[in-house]
Amino acid sequence: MSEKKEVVKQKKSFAELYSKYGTFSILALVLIIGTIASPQFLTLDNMLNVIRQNSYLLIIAFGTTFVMVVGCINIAYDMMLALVGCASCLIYVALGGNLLITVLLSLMIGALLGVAYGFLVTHFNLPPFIVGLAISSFCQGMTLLITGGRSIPGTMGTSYTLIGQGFFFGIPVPIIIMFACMAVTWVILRKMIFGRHAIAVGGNRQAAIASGIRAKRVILIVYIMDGLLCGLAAIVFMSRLGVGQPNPGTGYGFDAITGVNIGGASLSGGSGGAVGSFIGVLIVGLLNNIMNLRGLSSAWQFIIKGILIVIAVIIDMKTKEAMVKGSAK
Amino acid sequence: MKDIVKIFPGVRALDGVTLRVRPGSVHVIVGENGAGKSTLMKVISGEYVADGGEMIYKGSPVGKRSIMETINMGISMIAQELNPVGIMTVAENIFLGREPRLTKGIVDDRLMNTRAQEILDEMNIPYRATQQLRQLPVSGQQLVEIAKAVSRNASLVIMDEPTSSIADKEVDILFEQVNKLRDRGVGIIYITHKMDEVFKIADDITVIRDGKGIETGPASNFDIDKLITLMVGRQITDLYPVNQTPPGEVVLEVKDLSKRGKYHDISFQLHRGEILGFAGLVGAGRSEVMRAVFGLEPADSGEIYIDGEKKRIRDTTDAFANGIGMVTEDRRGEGIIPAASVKENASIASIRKYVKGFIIDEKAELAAAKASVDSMAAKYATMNQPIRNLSGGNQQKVILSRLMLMDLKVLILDEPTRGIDVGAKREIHQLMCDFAARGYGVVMISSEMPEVLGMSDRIIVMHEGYVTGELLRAEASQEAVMRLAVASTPQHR
Repeated sequence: MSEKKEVVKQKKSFAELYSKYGTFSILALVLIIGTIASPQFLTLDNMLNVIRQNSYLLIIAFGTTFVMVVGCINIAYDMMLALVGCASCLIYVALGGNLLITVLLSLMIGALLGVAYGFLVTHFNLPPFIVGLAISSFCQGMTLLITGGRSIPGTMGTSYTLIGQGFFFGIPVPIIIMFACMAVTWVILRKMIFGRHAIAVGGNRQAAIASGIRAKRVILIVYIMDGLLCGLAAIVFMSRLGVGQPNPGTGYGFDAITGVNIGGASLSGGSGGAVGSFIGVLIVGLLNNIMNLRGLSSAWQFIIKGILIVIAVIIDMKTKEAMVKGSAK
Repeated sequence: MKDIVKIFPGVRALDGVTLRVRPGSVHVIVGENGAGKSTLMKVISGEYVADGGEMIYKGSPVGKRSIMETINMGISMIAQELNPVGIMTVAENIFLGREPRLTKGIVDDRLMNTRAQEILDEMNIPYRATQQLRQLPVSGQQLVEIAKAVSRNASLVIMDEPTSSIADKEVDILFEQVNKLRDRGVGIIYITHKMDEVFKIADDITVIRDGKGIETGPASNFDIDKLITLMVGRQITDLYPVNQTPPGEVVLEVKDLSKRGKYHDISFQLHRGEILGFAGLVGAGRSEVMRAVFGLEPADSGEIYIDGEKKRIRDTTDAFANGIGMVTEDRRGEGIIPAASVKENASIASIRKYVKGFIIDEKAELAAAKASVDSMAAKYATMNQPIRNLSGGNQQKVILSRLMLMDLKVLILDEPTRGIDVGAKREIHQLMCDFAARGYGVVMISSEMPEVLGMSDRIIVMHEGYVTGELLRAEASQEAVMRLAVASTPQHR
């Protein structure tokens, strides 16, 4: 009898400890593994490099954080990234190099995709996953349509590349943009009414509605912000490449969701934050970095990341379960 | 069946019920909400194990067994909410789980369909065995359930409120089949809330109250008045605080609120400082009406007035803006945000009040939340602990303080003390009087008769979506409420 009680107690405390310090412990673990794996790993240059390389991923991740806080998901990032990025290059070339208008129009396209995503999810009660498949396919088609499947030249060496490659007071511009997004995310989620409403909607949608919150509107706005951030990430991404690339590759959305999940945002909603997501995505970035330093093929990298997300989700589910059980007593 | 005892933690759900069902008879069981009818049926069907007493079936005692074993013994249960596989055919449903086989793993469709059709024809049920079940009306699906029981050669069939979801004309078809079943020598246990049905179909009647068998005998020994008296005839020993506030002017008026299939032409007034009780049997439509007033499930038609002014309430945001707040029945599902803190749970609805510029002033928020939660005497470790770690009573107090932080005029409390321990229950009753004293109009939905009688200044009784009567505290008695709740004197329609 007493033995059983002991086990329950330990489980509960593990769940609570994990939810508090889990992300930091994993970060520490990854740093240790990296240091052992390669002497170049724990250097300032390499660390800054990882952050810079992953800055667009982090910008996407802050959008994901909002979406996951309200208990939804977006799985269309890769194709949204391609569409908004290519559109921004085309707009830039067509406007003859007006950077400000280009950025504004691109963000608008991103926001519109968010409106579409959010509208389909809230108005028709479609599962976010299915909507993601549709939006993804739509964006892929649109990208092919506007680019003809060819990359878009004409941005190389212009003001457009400043966003992805420039420096401001010696700090890479993408890093500045990323930290600005992080700060905004943190303020909205922790300090503003909208953040509280989002957490309530994700924590218990029916209770949020019974508290006078228009849950559907909250979810719609979240998807719009998500679209905006994805649009911003797309500009940073294409600007870094220096060329509009209709096939930028896949797996970015996957990395963002994995990172945000590791960073403490539960797939079932109601939890998550800017700092956690930053560290979570950083962990994914560092793992990629370690695997690159060790010269692992991208085939192995995908396999290992697949295993990682399963582990992250299992831990997510188990700690939630344990906490619910612990509280039922 | 003799002296069945079933003890749930904290409650004696069944406390010595003796039930004797004769073959070839319909035995009707009546009782209030929570009298123990369903628990008894679950003991018979093998879902629950009795803690004491014995069950004798066909002359020999039966002990612990599974639901499947019970079915194989010839006891079939037709649940209140049918759970058929709609996409499958009538025949497939009848033979679900015991399909005739050609060889291992292959169903003999032809044999199954012929045998199902034989059963249907024999019982004069006008359906084809190959029809999809979902094309049938609910009453038809019930007939299929009866056919299933027949095909299993059941000698005891339990029917739990079979007419609660079917139209009046379909009831006759159902009764015809029940009578046929009886004539085949099957014993039938029939649970119902409807008094007019009781005497149409019963051979024997047993009244259950508070888990005890109160009286049993042939139907001719009873009439409606006697049944009602027996159902409610308990001594009320609990003490309730009496609301001393005299009612003020009308704060909420509802006119002709209707929603198809749920409730019809509901009109009532609520005064400031008044506690208005809504009584009725479970499923009478009380919650649905109040959920419409609160904007959770808007009505089809009808008008809502606050302080004499007509208001449009499309959602809960409108309701709060007009001073209407509600604590819903389902505390876990619609009340608490489990992972959020006590503070956040208390402040979530009124968060706009604590904002400076665009930023939440967390000090002001904490101060307001703490003051409100403390005024309810809720017990907690810190305001930052997750609300899920609190007891049910304390969670309920936090939800009440959530509403107290709003500027409300009308408080709707749906089963406010359900699942809450006795001490906290009493405190919540006192709080309700305090709310009335502070000028709120309070609506309380309760399925507990003593609570309704003890707390309400005025009681409105509903039956199947209609208001059947209104009673002042002085004229309210258990019998009077129950008479209206079972609508033995229909004033509507």
